[in-house]
Amino acid sequence: MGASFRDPAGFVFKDQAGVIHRHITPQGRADYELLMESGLYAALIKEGLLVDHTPNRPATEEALVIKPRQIPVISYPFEWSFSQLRDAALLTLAIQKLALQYKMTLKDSSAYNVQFVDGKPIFIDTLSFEGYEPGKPWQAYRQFCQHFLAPLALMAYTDVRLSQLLRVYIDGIPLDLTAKLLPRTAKIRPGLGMHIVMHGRAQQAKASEHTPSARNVAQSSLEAILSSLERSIKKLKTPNNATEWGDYYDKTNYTPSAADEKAKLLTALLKPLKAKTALDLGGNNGRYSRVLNAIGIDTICSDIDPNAVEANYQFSRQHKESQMLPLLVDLTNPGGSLGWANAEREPIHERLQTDVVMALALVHHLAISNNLPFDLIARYFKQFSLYLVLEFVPKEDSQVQKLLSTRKDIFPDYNESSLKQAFGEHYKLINEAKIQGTMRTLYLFKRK
Amino acid sequence: MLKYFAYIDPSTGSMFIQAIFGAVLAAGVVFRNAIHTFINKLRLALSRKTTDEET
Repeated sequence: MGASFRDPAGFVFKDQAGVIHRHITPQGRADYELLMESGLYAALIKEGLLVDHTPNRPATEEALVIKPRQIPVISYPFEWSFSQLRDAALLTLAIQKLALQYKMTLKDSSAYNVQFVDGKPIFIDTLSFEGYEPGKPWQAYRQFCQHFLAPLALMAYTDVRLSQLLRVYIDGIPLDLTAKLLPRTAKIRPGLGMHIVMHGRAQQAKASEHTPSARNVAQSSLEAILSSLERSIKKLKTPNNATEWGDYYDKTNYTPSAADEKAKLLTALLKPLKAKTALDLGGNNGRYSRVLNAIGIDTICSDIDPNAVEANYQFSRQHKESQMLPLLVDLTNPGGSLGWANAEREPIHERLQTDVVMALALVHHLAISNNLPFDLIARYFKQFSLYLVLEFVPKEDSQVQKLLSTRKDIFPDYNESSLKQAFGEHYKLINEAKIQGTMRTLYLFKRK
Repeated sequence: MLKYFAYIDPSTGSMFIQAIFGAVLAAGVVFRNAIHTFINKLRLALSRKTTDEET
């Protein structure tokens, strides 16, 4: 698969049925067996830190193939809120600490080794472990600082939006750049001062040297570094900038009774479909995703606003929810198609496939703020799912009036009949319902 | 000379600085533990003194 070419110990592939397997090469065999026999694997599974797997085919000299637990939804670090990235970082450190106790170590600490399953982060790269040689420094230290500490520090101290730098720098944000972007108050802190600023300078200083340093680093030193990284991350304050969307549901056109009405209508429309999964586009803090959770639908709730995604994730962790996956996505410019040949990471329409897409009070933003014709919206949405629930907000609604207030109304086709016609080319209209107490209508479409 | 089977680039500078940070932080741990042990011993000694005084 896309990014699985770097590690000589093995690679990941998908079979014809779409099931993912991990192929372990002869080079990776010894470390894999050490993982299993040392007791580390059992310890990791017991703590829920690593995905489990079953050996798939009997081992030959050439290869051993294992079938890991399948991950329902693949998401990427630039799609995570601050706390999601932080939890992924702390998970990685916890795993490295545990590994050292069993005389093993992580050979890489990429953020892409972590995925969210049942609402919690879990490590997915079974082949990341190798035998620990006492005295040898942690070779994944640089990667940890760039993938985790740098973006977290930038989000906490400079601006929460800077996690998007991870889309540009797929191996983590360079430390010298991070140091330039961080304010002084951040850099004087010992943890960040060491692991970002001085670390970055050491990289520059030694850049022209090509002989590996023969330095000895004791295990106690490694453990001290891990504790220091953990402390530095825990001390970062969760960013809470007021953005347009932060308190969205308090500022909408819904009275509490109209909001309940909408929730009831959604339930009535979706229950008969017996859907198992859904994608709530522009779902903000997950208020309506949870309506779907209540009828047994696992939901990905994506939104453009980092504060909304953060609020959603915090709520879901507090209430130990397992059916919610909050993700940070700008639908007009989603991430993916990154890396070599634009193929190491996949675009969202390939990854976020579900039974139902919900586009509640979303289309007016796409059609008016982003000038998208209904036809293009329909063509994109249909790549995600069989069913679509769309809430149409007419021009007379004050939310749309707000969008039009600072620009010329060049949208003669922004109305219900044009919508139905455009979507009718790609979908069949199954049901519609006016939301009482508002000017809005819910439509249920099925892809043709 | 230590041999590295790294497939990722660990960066010479990162290895170098780890040795320094590791030593400093580990020393810090030892120092902090020593302080805590000292403080605990002090507390114990003081509480024993007050109970002696009370009896």
